[in-house]
Amino acid sequence: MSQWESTAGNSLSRRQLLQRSGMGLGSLAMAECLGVRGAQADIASQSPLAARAPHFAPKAKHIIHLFMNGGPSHVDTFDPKPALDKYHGTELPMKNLRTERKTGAAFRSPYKFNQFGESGIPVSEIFPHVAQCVDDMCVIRSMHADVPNHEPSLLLMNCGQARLVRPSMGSWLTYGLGTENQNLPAFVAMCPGGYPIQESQNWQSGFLPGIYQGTYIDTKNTRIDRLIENIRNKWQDHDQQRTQLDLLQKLNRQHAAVRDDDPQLEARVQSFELAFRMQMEAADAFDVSRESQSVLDAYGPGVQARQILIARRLVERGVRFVQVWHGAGQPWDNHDDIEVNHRRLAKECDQAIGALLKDLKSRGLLDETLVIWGGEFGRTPTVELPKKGSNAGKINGRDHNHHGFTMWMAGGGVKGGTIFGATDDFGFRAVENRVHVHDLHATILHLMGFDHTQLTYRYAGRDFRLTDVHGQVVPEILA
Amino acid sequence: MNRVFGRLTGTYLVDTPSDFGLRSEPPIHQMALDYLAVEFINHGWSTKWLIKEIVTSATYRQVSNVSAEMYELDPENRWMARMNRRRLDFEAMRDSLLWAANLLDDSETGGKSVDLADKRMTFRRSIYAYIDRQNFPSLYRTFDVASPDTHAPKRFDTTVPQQALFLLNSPFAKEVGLAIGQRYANDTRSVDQRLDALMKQVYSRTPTDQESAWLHEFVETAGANDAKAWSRLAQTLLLSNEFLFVD
Repeated sequence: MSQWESTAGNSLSRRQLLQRSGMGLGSLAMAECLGVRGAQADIASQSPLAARAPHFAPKAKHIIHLFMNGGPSHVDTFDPKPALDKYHGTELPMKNLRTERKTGAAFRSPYKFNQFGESGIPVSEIFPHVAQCVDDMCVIRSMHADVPNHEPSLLLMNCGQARLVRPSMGSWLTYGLGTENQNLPAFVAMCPGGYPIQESQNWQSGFLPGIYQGTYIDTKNTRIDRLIENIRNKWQDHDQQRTQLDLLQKLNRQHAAVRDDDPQLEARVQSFELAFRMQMEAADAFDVSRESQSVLDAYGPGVQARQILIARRLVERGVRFVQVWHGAGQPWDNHDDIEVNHRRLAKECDQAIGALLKDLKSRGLLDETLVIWGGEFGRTPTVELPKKGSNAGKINGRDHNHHGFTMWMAGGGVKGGTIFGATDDFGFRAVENRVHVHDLHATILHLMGFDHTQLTYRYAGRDFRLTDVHGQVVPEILA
Repeated sequence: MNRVFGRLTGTYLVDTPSDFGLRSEPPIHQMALDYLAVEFINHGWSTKWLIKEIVTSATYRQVSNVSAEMYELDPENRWMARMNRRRLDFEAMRDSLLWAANLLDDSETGGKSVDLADKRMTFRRSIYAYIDRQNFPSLYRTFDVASPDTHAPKRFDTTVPQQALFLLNSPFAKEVGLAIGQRYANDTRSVDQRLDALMKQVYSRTPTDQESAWLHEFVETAGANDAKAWSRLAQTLLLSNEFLFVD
């Protein structure tokens, strides 16, 4: 950041500073409500990503969001329902709630649950490594969303709005906080093999400047030049490029010398130096082979392990928000063969997620890193009925369920070893201490040091925020 | 009218182009606003007339580089006693790079849109860019092209290292540098003559003695007929602030 500070011109008015930094009235409002004189200097320094202080002392500085896209079944993972065993194969004593497709009889979990840790939180047999960390986890069993469809639910979970174009949570946070490492993108969205459903809208910046949009990384690739666009120069080596930049900066300095003190010019000079450093730092951050063998063994094999380990390397280097998607499309969307598929999907990521939590803890990073696990909704406790063209005749899967589902969070100021809220006896609907996605957002912003009603941006004539007119912080889950 | 004026000059007569309501600041140049609006209508809503009227005005034809005292009097340039220094936006930058390298393909007007981010490079003007709303290339985002998904009163104007990475390392940047560099490497003129010609091609001026010395040194270390050295030199000139900003 220091290289930016020197660029602040004294002759510029507040208004011009805002204009030139590409920020609007929203950031002015923010700077005012933050009451931080430094915020103005940061904007003046022309780095929209300079680290800024939030409204109050944050519990968490970074977020790793493990996105199980498609919708993992809560009754098969973190919300055991013995009543389903009793009613298995017969009608539930309650009316089935309406979801996307028709569902039938009660469908028990094919997996065994055991209690773990001092807290005794029950976890399904398909997450044995995550289960070792329950005392650091807060399991929210009473999540609920608005509709049983992927696209609107993904947008709701990421952007707080199911239909209209709004900035994602990662964009709001990088807008509010900047980032601690100017040599890496502030907000990274990793997904192996392609985009999830709803594509790049999941990490869009909406009406905020484009720089707050998530940088997408296809972690199926391992070579750095395939991971980040234009990160390598293929026709000049490091020294040749340095010589080129030295000449460039001589020309730029001469150009600036006969012009007024214009921070636009200096900002661009600095952006080339940043880019030069980014080439090295990014290559280092994404190269997991620089980890010790014991760390690599702990995370295990496969692409999930690699991208989850990269997530740790990124937050360690100051990246603000890392979203780790399980895979392209919607892997967890098991309308049929749920027993085989959920077991396979959990196996792909379980060891690495357990290793991540332990690793963050041993490095002293878990306190300041909020780890979030979950999908866009859960799944029905009843079996999905055959439907022409999809799961015809299988009758061994579950439909989407937005009425009730589970997410868990760990580290970053949440109360470990706790279960919050509950679904009904069968896991259909959240009934106790219900937590809407807006409430989750309000709580996450709170952990990051923001009053969610005050982190706003003026657009189209009014102040917008992640939670719009909704959201209540859930104080019970705060440490 | 306000949008056209703002795009051309960098200063909007009403600073909130999507909000002319009670909550916007009243314009300083009310007379200019009214004059242009009324004449725009009188000229049959001709955008061509409007642009011509603005760019031939004394206000538009000012320079941006003024004395420190002038600058102090109105740092925001609200009164428009000078021109704003303007950075080329993505489309203008790309077209200018292609034009400087004699690569710009303006042989055809109209026709199908083209994917500017495609591996198979196209040199058509940027106005023909194919925009996929669902899969908006990061290249456009990096350079502040407005999101096609939502209303944008103005473009943002950020300066970030990802822009520099594109101009330094992308295949497009390489192609542009090479197109210029190859020509000067295979040239029988003296190095100084070639440097003069290169500067004229890229900056429309001759180099100062100091610049000549710098450029000379850069090329000579690799050899005066080395295509790569000339390409790297051409690329360097194109990366500079002099190329990207209009005074």
